[in-house]
Amino acid sequence: MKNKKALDMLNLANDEYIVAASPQKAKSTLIKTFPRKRMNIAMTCAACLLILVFGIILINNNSESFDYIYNKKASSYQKISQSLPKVLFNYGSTDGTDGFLDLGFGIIGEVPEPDPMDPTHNSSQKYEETTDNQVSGIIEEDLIKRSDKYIYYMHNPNYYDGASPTLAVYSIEGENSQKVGEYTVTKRYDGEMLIVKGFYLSEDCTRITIIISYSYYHKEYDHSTNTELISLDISEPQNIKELGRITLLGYYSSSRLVDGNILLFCIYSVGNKYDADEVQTFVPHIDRGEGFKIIPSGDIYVPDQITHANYTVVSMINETSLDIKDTVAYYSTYTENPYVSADNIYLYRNYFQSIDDKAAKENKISFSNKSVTEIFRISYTNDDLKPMKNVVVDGKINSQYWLDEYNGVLRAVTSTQETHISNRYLSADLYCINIESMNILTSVKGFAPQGEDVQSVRFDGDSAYVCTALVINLTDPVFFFDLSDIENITYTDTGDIEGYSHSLVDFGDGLCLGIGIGDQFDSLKIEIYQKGDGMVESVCSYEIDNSRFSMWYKAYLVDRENKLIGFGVTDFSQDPSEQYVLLHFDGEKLELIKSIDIKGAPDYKRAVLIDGYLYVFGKSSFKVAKI
Amino acid sequence: MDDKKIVELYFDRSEAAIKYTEEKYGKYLRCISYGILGSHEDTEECLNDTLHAAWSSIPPKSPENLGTYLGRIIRNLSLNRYAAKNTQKRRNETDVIFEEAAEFVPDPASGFSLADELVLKEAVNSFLSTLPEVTRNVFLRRYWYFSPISEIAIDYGMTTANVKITLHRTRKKFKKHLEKEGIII
Repeated sequence: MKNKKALDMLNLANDEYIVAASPQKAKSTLIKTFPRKRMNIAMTCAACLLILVFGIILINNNSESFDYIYNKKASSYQKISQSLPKVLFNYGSTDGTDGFLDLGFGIIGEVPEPDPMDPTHNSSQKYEETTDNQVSGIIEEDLIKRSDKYIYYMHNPNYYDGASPTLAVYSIEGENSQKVGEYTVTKRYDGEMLIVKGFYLSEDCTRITIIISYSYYHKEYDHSTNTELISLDISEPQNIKELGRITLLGYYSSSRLVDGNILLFCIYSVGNKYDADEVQTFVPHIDRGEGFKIIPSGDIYVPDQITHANYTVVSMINETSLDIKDTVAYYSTYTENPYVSADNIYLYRNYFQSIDDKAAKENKISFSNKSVTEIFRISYTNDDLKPMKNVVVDGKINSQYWLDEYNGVLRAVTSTQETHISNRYLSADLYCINIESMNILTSVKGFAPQGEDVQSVRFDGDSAYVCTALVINLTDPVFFFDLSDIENITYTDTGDIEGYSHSLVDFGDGLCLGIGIGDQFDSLKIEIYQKGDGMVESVCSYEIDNSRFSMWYKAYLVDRENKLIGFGVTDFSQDPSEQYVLLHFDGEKLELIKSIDIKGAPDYKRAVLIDGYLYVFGKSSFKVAKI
Repeated sequence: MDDKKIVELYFDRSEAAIKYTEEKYGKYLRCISYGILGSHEDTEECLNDTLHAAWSSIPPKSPENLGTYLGRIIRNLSLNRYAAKNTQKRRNETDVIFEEAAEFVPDPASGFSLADELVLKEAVNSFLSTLPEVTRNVFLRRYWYFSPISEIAIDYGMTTANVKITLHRTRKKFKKHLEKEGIII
């Protein structure tokens, strides 16, 4: 693509120009040239503030807080501090000179409890699930939710597109449906980049909690990416009210709504302003109603092998009040897609481990390592989070769908990579792990053809579909695993098929739906698989060439009962090109039954099917079509 | 340890070469890759691939500036990975930079033939040499290092609006310069 060639061209710039422009050079230059007078004033303010903070802590006589801050024997803090010079790298934060201020989590604005006597809070709406959650009852955030009366949809979730994200409420009245209310998410800072990641509708349909990720460099916090939750009263759609907000420093990773609690996962990265002697500068803070405090050392897990200067922070937040009930943090861990079951949370961290390659060393050609993943289990109840044991497996995990709990066993699929000097070995493993002990019970090693990566996994009871692919060649097999007897796991596959699936979905009636790429990178392929005798076979497929489509599973409407698949697509062979398409599987083939012109990026389009009407939502509009 | 000594270790096929390379340049290389990919896992894989490429290419190559040699490798690997994996993903900062880069692609209607690498290198560096130092640094921070505008603004003591205007003007000048040199890509 020409844009990439234009950027590649800059690789020809002279070394001296590249070095002079490096971020590290800019920071050292800025510090040297910063006016001395302002520096002195800033340092004096910082010193006063530190004295004030220490004074408050001492006067408060909060021994718990005192110990956590001053106790150099707190082992987690010490391990973290010692690791930072090696593993910290520049995420873009710069050295500030305004001194250190408290940074952390906290509630901005009170979120009142609903008044049970207030009729507006006595919603008569019934919650209806629209998101195809991985685990039933463990609700995932999405851009669309609904009750039996209204559909709630987030238009323009990505502020990059120039328009403000707007939550709109629509009545469910077939072709007479209309917008009845809206709430616009506005930027609070000049230069802020804002993305709405999704939202939750409360079970009683009176509140919505919006989750926002925003990029804005808070100099005083030394943080650029932050997470915000906004609680809204939507009991009167025509008069949506903001109840309160909570801001957490760190990159939004994922979340779930379970029994009135939001489990929130954020990635907190240590900034360049850290001071090895000041714990506040490299440990996330939390406010659980008693002011900002650093996460206690005992609530931070530090692995033996430290590879990153960041934390995955797990918070349990009351969905009604936005109070933080509990928090745990895992250092050197970056989990973008945690798996959450009915009882447990699974985080994972991928890193490279050296291999002791004696033969290579003897020939002085040693460069050997392999990708490994450490999986952590956190048990949770309605009130707390409890870190449990962990396990290390070969390979890496890329998605929540690569993990699954079933009958006391955690199943995990990994993409493996081993490097032995000039040779690279890629394949895939499947593991069965005892959940209580986190010991590996059995495994299937290297089942994928050499050179292939795992692209998608779907566990379904005592079976699993796994798609691996040689992405550069756009070919894949799909494997079917029989996990009914984990001591004797068997599997079969389709053989090479064109393209690969980025999502595999149970489609009911023994069918598996694959959503992914066809024979070209701009070719969408929807494929139905079925397990036959000793093999997995492709039943049929539907392709749209020369198109732009979503790789995000939530963007697809999957109706197992009616065998319908809906999705947004930009089909460059059509005019207009931006559409929402509905396919139907009749038992033999996939056929197009509806195509609706609607603008917007495929990632953000959504649709719901209610009583024979398809309600479709795009960038700034919505349409209703009778099916 | 200076670059010359590290390169000697590569020539001796000593595994210490990898260790010292990572110690000295790991942070710098991760910064470049993360700026493009925004993913720790992908960044670590690109770093691993870069170290592997370094081991495979030295010798016979003997780079004088090891940092920029490796920086170019990881930048290329990251851009290729981004292009292959993210053709369909939602827009983010890297997408925005890709779109901005379109503004300095010279107009093919100028009618000149495709440039070879030497001619292109001369054109790129002759343009960069005409820029004031800060402007050049801002431009390369954005399009070589993939830094966000807010970070560039802070590092160079500018407002974000100022950075945006500087980049906009420089992109236009770069395009004109390439067209004048008869370059199409």
